[in-house]
Amino acid sequence: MEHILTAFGDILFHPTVLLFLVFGVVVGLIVGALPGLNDTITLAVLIPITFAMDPKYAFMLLVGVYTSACYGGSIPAILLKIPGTASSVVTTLDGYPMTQRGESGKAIGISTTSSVFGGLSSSLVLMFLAPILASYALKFGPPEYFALAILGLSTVAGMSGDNVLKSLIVCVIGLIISTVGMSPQTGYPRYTFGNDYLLEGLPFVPMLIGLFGVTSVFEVAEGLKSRVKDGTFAKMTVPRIGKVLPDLAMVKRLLPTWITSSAIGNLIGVIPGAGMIMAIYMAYDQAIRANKDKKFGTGVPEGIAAPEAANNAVVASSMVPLMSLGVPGNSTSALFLGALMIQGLRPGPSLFQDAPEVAYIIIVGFFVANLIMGPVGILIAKFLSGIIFRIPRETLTAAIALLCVTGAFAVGNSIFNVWIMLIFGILGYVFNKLKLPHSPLILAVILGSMMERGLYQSMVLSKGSLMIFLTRPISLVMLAASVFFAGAPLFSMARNRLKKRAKRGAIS
Amino acid sequence: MKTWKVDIILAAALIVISVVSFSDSRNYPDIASHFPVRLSIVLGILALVLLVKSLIKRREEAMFTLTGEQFRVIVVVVAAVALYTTLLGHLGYLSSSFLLMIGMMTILGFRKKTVMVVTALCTVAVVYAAFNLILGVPLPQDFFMAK
Amino acid sequence: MLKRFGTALCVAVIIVALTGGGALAGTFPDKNLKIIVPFAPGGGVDVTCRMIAEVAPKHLNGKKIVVENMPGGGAVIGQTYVAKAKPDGYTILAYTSSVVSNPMTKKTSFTHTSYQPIAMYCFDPEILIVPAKSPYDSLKAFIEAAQKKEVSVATPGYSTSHHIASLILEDRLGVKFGYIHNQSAAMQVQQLLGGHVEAGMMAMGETTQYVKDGSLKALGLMIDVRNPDFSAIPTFKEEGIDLVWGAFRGLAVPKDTPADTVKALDEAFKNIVADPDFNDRMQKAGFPVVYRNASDFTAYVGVVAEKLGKILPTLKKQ
Repeated sequence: MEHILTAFGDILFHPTVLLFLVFGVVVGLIVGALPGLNDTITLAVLIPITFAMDPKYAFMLLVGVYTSACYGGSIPAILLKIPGTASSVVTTLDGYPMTQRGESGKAIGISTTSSVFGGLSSSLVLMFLAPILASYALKFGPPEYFALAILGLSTVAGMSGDNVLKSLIVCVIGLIISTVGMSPQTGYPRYTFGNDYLLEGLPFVPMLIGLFGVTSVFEVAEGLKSRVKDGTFAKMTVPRIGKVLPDLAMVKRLLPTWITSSAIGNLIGVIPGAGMIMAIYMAYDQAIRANKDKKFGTGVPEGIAAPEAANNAVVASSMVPLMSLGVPGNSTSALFLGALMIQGLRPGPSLFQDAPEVAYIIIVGFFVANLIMGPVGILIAKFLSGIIFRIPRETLTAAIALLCVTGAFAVGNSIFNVWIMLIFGILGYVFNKLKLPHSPLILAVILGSMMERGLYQSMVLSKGSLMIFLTRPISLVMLAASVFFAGAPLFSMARNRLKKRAKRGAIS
Repeated sequence: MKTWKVDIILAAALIVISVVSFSDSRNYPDIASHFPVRLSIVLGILALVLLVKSLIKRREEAMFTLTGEQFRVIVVVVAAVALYTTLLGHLGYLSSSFLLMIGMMTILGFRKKTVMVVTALCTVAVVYAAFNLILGVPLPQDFFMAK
Repeated sequence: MLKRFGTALCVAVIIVALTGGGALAGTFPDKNLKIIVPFAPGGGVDVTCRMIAEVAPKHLNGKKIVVENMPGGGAVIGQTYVAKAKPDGYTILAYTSSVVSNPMTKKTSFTHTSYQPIAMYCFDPEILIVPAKSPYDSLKAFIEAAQKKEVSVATPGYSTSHHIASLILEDRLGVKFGYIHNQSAAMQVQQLLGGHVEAGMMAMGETTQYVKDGSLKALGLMIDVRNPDFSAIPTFKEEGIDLVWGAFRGLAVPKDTPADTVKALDEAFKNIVADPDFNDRMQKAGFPVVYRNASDFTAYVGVVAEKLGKILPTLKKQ
């Protein structure tokens, strides 16, 4: 406890340390908001700069960037339907419809408060519950990862609304895409057609840039050629973002969503390798279940609150396995590992003895960064939405196209990525035309390899017996939950149909 | 286009994909083939269900509308990005990006020439500065770039 | 206002871009060098290369080393890039064990002889490690168990040097392991700490903290003599298994690089690896510094390649 208080003092009473944190938050917001740049790239390029820095400054910078990047991603998701980072793909679903209604200010406000809520919750978890949750994370072995992947995929059913068949089709396509590259257990190259670039599978970030960024470029192009100027592309008169912060009634309304989503985010966050994407979809799915009366996808506040609280709840909690076990939870916390190593430190329990001041300042840094993120975020969001809608649509779209290609290239330093981006841009456009949902594709691509790996690893452990999934309690619970999640929507749909038929029967 | 017709085309395309995917993955050794083979079969089945469903239901309402002009502009945009990607490796980042900006604005119907050139120059400069000069992300070498 | 600012900015950027170029011909190096890391940022190879880059200017007439990541294809993309790069000594590859194993397990346009090794700066010996609660307390107990049943062994990935180490061990012991291949060492550690697997093959540097605090048990190191810092960990040799293996990290340039350039690089990296700042960082981060010069490194890689060639049938080309 005193270490925590000392760390608070170190941050708050040392202007330089605080300045680095604020600077990190601002940088994170900006890179998050630019499609194509994300926290991973930014941290990767910042790490060499941290070499010569005092570790306190270095980690405040990195913590700031990590904290705010996924919130920054929600800004273009809401304003332009282009998620700035992968973590805000779900935010587009309800965020953009609100912008179309001229409620972008309200949407930004919800995203901000939800992000801060989620972020604070996870920084508290990191501060006080890290050792307990780390031991929970260790209970996850191959069978649990398999079950977790199934659980994640089961949310597709809840989100598919009335089109289960098409969601399933998209889901299977996503799973097939996830098998591209070397097979995890045998190294055999699948669907690579002799191309070395495909050996590690299709690159995820360029895929997302394509699905959202490039697709939106196509749609703008199409809209500009449309004779009927519909609401979307006729000069959208976006009102000045006036009052942004939600009022007390809205806070009360969103509180349950915030709590559930933060809990999901934190639980998923501490499991190494599970990731933000899974958390946001599960949170969104839960929000749908809890608010059956609202039509999600049409600009429902909960639809923004759930993913935004969840993704920020993953941020600090993904540091739990790193700080308490030395195992990075995701690619971003792996970069923290790199940064610590460069400073001559090894994360894990020994860090708290070797360099407690660094360990605690990182932990407390997340808390303070979230507090800074709120106000700074609103300022930047207001500024951005002020200019974005003043730029002629043609120019803005061309600039977005440039950002997309640059970002896709930058992720893996390869032109091949730009081709992948273009292909998925076309695919995304076709998907939209055919009313095929994106979400199952993204989820399946992310979870497919986790599922396959978990399955075959488990089979090695159990010498081929499937019982391993049922005899391990966590795996069993998750599988049961997936049956319930997948089954419930189907069940209620069947019931509705029966009712309709019964009604029709009664009339005729 | 009418929904049921679109769905039939979609189903046909999916069946083709599942056949291609099945015939490729069938040859993978043992464990490597399990997942892809089963997935290809499931995809094929789902596509058949879609086919049958659209034939039975024959939903007549339009799935989407796309005028010839709109289709042409999409093709041109795709071609522009593809051309850009090809040029990127030869011309380098700055020149091809400038061309992309000019090209995109022209395609989208922007008509003020001077504004267009200035905007293109500035956008490329700012994006280049942000990625390469400030963040140090490597971009394809260009004649105009510092070595 | 905004527009004017933008114009000013872009003019500035163009001026910077134009004036920055143009190097004068002269002694090597007369411009910045580039190390291609064929992996994503943040891993051991990336971090150690950045440590090299940090101290490099002192030993390279003030020229810098820029670390560029070129991940993909199980490191094949970056390795191919350097193999095909202009052999002028300015493009250097982070040369690791996978340069030797990749051509044997994948279709590649290069082999390890497509490069001229410059310097090895790190050798991380292979360690056999088990969970703290494991019933195996010694290498002997582990071997006996493995001879009776299929022991599960976690690796950080198929065809990594750790997987190869286990294959060699299998071959020597005449046993069969149940492989749990992961995508990263992080997942491997998670499985070991959680006791989900019975054993793991790792690089010693990645395990020191866990061995120190007792959360994992080290059974044996594949080195010649016991490591003075970890004298409690026996070597495989002591159990009668003469097996020396580990992950090496080094640097190499394309094969056709002129001899005097290679000589200059050899000299420069000798000084870089000897730099106390570099050694200090490496030691603190747990990477054991072992230096070999260009000719020794070349010979060493040859030996590794030969060993690998022998077990090649088990890792069939696909």
